[in-house]
Amino acid sequence: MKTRGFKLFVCLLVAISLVACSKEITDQVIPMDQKVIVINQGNFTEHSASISLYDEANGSIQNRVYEQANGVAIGATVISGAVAPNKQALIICNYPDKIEVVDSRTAKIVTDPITEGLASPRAAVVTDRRIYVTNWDYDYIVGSDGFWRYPNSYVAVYDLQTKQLIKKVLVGTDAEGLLLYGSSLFVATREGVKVLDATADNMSTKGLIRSADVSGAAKHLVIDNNLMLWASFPDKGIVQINPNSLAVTKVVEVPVDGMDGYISSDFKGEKIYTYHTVFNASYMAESSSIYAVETSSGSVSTLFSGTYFYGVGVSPSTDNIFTAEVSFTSNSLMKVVSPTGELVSSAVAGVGTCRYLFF
Amino acid sequence: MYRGISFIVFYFASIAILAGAPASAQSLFIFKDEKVPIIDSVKTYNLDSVIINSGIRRSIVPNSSFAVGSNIIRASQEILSQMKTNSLADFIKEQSAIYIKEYGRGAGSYLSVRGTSSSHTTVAWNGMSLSVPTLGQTNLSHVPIYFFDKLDIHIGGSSALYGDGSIGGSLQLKTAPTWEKGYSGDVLVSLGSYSTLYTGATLRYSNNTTESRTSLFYTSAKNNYSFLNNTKPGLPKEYLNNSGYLNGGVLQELYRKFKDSSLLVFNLWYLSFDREIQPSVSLNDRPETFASILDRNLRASLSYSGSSSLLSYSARASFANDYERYKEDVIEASKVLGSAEAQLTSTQFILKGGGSYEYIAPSAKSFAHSVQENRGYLFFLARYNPYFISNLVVSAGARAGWVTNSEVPFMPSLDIKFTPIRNQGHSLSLKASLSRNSKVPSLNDRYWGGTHTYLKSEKSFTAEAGVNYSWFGMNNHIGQSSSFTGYLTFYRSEVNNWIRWLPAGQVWRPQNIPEVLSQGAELGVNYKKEFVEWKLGASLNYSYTNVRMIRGLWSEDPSIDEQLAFQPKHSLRSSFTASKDAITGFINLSYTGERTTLDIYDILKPYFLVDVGVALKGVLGGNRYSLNIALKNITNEHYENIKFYAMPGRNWQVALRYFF
Repeated sequence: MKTRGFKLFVCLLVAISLVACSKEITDQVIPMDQKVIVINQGNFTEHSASISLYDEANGSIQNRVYEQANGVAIGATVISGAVAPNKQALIICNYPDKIEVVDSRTAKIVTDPITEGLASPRAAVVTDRRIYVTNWDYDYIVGSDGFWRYPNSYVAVYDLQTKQLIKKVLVGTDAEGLLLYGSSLFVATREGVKVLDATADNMSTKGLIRSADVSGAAKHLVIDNNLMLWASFPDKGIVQINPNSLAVTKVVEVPVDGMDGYISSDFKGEKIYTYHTVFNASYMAESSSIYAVETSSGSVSTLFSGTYFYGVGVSPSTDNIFTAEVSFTSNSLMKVVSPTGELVSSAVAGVGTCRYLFF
Repeated sequence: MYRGISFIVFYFASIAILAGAPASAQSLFIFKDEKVPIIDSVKTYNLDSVIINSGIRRSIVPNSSFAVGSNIIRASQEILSQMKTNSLADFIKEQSAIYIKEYGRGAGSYLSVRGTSSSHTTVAWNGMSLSVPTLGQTNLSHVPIYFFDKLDIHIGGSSALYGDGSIGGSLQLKTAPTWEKGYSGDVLVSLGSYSTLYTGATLRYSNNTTESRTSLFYTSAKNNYSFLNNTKPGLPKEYLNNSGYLNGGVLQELYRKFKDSSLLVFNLWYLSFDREIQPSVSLNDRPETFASILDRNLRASLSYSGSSSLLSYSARASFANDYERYKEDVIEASKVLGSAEAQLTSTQFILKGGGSYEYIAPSAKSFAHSVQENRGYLFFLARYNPYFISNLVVSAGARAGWVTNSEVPFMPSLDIKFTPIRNQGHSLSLKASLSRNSKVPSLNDRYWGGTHTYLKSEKSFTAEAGVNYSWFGMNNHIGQSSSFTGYLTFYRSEVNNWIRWLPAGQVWRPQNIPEVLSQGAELGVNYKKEFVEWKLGASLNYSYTNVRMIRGLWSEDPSIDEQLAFQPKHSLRSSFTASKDAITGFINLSYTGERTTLDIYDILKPYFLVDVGVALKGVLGGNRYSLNIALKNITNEHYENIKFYAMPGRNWQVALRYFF
């Protein structure tokens, strides 16, 4: 049972921390250190991103571990990250665009950052051989709502060992989250969920998944205990996808953050967590909630409430849910919540706390 | 003959400037009458130089005359002339302990007085605001010292005196006629590190009734200095890219005196700043992110002032246009202003009142086309020096106004100054000031990307008290003097509804921070002594600034009760000078203390800078000249004022100024 749990965990890790669940690694067992890399996005104009390291065993947090370990600053905005099976963490940076590769436990730089082939990178998924990175590219058009769209978004493919760029593949507009299931790479875009064949770096298009009942862009992807994919569509909620038939099998209406659209699933794949913040007429964050969706029934419940959440994560070690009262002009307050919704602990993190990489 | 030659020199220099010919830059010029302290405090106690103007008349006193209980740093014409090739940012940075946020050499520089933001300090030229209405603040690197004759730095809240925005302080720049008959002027050429060039030229013509002043400047720099990149392992040495600038401007003034001693003045200035935006060190090798910004500022005003035996009056009409282009985005605003004021003077009272009206028309893609603004203000000031307590001065003031779609808080002030000791060269004054100040949200705050009428005006309540002491001594046997001036001020300023831009979903919107508290102390001392054939001087300015958010937008904000970002608690400036005959040497010391970024755990290390230099003066062809050589940051300190924005290491400047 325990072994099955770990195997499932490996698959879940694919979804929640963007580590690939592929045929090559499904038999791997990755021991957990009960540590969390907390990504503090930073203020875009200030390059004030930072990395915190949270110890689930004792509830302590170390801030600015990258600077302490390396004697230099990241000097960028950190959008997301991923932990590879070898415990190397990929820190996806914007402005300047780069991927810092560090040892998860020490935050020490492992190798020179990846810069080739990046243009506003968004998210990454990593296997034991490849790194796949979504990029917006720099070309944009202005949408009818006044917001920029990036129609030439692409996925860049890298060799994990050499960190060399292998190829770039156009995937549509506003490419965001991605997930590898078997040899299929699922990519969230404005057009829907694009499916690519990752076999032998082929990267040909296998399909585009979109429900007629759902408008807006797809943002992020997770996998559940039945090995079904779920994609967030902030305009509607979350959408269940059969990764084999590429068909939409369920739509659940649940509030999803419109800007980030990030979702996360728990260790067992039984629940998917979303978050959403409500702003009042004066653009002040008024209330924010974490929502839990039962993957089997599609029922929605409110787990935890606050003022302004931006990001959610679930620990595979403790099942605790991580979020933060976020601030982009000062430090955020990270909050750890039990699966039943009680506040377990809180800790001051960096500016713009948004992602949690468990290892 | 010499004046004719000088005029020709001026003429060709002017043409060279207009043609974009190189010129130069630096500071520290020395003049014949140059004995005024580098920075005076509220009062100048020893009169070392006297400039006598013809046509003396009773005129309206500046509003700063009513600030008897607060601290005004008064930079004289002489000290300003020493730094003619510098921007206002350079001047304040070197000559006071006021903190300036700098994004690089010649890049954006913003004042922070007593921990407040740059939009909380008004900057005005002859009473005309230099801030850009859309942004509500002034980039001090865009204000050339070369144009100005006087500068008052009023530290502390002063909205009743200077109007909307004077929450932290006010900078009052002034130009004035010399009434020196005939042609006069100067030509200035300066060279410096990083291909820095500065040229300036001024021509004045005056007869008994009319004076014209024309000034031009042109400056450019590559600013390709080296720095240690603190975002790359090993801190590699790199050279800065995309940091050059090419600036120029013209100032034209006409003064006309009438028989009743009234005065008609026309001022016009036009400035152009074409500046590459210095990249952060992490973007220094990313040319795809490089950008430039172009600013053009026009100011024109026509004023008339006069007086009778008791009553003085003045009126002004002015026009301003500010244009800024960043990539494809253009932000422009035009402003028309009319103002009038009158003053009643008696032996014990000065009563002054006035009003102003402004019409502002902004133009920006992110503003609705219908956005326009009307502003009106009325103010009243009174200063009382009772005959029965001759060493007491009390002043009070109030300002009220209205602004389109905004509430304007009432702005009163009360100042008191008591001088219990004034004898045998010693003078000791006690002073105190209370003021309520405000700032209406800028046009960007209210209209950028929508209409943010929910925003409240920022307002502050400031209380301060301090002591001024001065001493002047003369050794009659050897005819040598010594002098000392000093001040110590304590203040407390509570700012409510401080405006900051915060993310609100997919966009950023301005919000009011409920309460920020600034408390601190300011100390300034200045000592001068004549010793044998030497004239020695030493000065020190120190400020302690404790500025914290007391109430935030959410109760759990970790930055509550922490020092605000980019605000050093300790800031110190000191200088030592030694003069003999035509030579003056100087050492300037500058310390900026530890401060944080937006992250309270991200601490920027303090830095200590040392500048040295020498200035020579002489006569060539019957006219005066000055030659100044300065070595800046001689310890080659690698530092950042704002995180990730490199500042220059050791560098030099040489300046030659020729007067005619």
